[in-house]
Amino acid sequence: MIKRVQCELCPNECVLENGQHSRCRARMNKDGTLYSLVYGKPCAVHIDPIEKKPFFHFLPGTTAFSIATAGCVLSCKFCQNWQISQANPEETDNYDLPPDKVVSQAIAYKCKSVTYTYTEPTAFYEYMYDTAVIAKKHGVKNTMHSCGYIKEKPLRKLSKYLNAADIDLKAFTEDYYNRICSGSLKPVLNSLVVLKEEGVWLEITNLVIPTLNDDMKNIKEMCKWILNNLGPNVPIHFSRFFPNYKLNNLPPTPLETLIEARKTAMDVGLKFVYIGNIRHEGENTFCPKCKKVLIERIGYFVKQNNISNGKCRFCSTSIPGVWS
Amino acid sequence: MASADSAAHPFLVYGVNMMNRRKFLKLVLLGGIFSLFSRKVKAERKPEQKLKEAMFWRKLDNE
Repeated sequence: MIKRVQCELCPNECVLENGQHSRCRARMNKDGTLYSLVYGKPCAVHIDPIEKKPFFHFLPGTTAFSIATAGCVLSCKFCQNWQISQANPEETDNYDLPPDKVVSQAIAYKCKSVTYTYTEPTAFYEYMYDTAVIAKKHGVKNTMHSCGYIKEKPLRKLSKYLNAADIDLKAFTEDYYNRICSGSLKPVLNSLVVLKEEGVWLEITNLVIPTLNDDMKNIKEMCKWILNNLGPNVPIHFSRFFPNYKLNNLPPTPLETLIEARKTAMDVGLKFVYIGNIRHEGENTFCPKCKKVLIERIGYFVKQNNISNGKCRFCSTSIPGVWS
Repeated sequence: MASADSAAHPFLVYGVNMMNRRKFLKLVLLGGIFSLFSRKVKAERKPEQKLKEAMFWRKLDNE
């Protein structure tokens, strides 16, 4: 008897014969049942500043207990973590860390949050979900850095336990998603809207790659979409690209391009626009009203924080985010 | 014909001549004593971990 199954977790919708692995490499059809191959087996466990994710409006200056397993639903040619994201679970060095231990370790190391990151959390959905449920019970917050390539039903289910999400909006054309990431844009935009609807604190990261997605017209279109569908308060991070994986032929993103992207986004009406992966004043948070520096950052570290009870210390303007 | 101490078998000749029965027994005895202090390795097969059933999937062939 043929025992085919279909995964309904991400838009890839893999149809798997008995013994086949999913495209994300983290799931397998075994005798007609779909199993997760990475549950409780992270290949990366670190304590990071929350700013590294990057989250700039979510508990600044705190640490996040960060985990990842092997696997990813996309295959971006520029992936910065391709050694683990494009690997099979049996090819990586894995820890044995079940969900309850993740939470107890996070508490022991005084981390305010658990972050599902580095690879693609959707690939280890079951592990993330179970961990998130336990973390919430213990008062530890849950955040994820994801490509947003997930179907609506699982995302809504997860959102009940998720406090914040940083979504990679890699570009604003279907062509880019098809050619560079082997995915598509539409499900990512839908995920952004769903997260907003579910009340999850949202930040967006856009990796600007020379010649591929640095066209200011496209960046402007993207920012307009964000403004119209998510509002002006969603922070966006324009991140600097460095040659990696299959895109070694391109140079790092020039600072001027990032500055121009930031200006474009602010001209459109987005209030909190950042530059990442490079030292620049665009790493800081400014008050949209009095324009004073609210949070001064040096890389991932917070040098000064002038937000008190969610308000600007100088002019009392309310600053959107999760501050305590 | 090559003799036993010729260059053709230098290690064999050297090894046989260097160790007599007393030295060999002393070595075995010392090895036995040291092994008493060493940690025992448990050669057990690790129990196979149960796989976690995935969420969000469906069977196709029963439709």
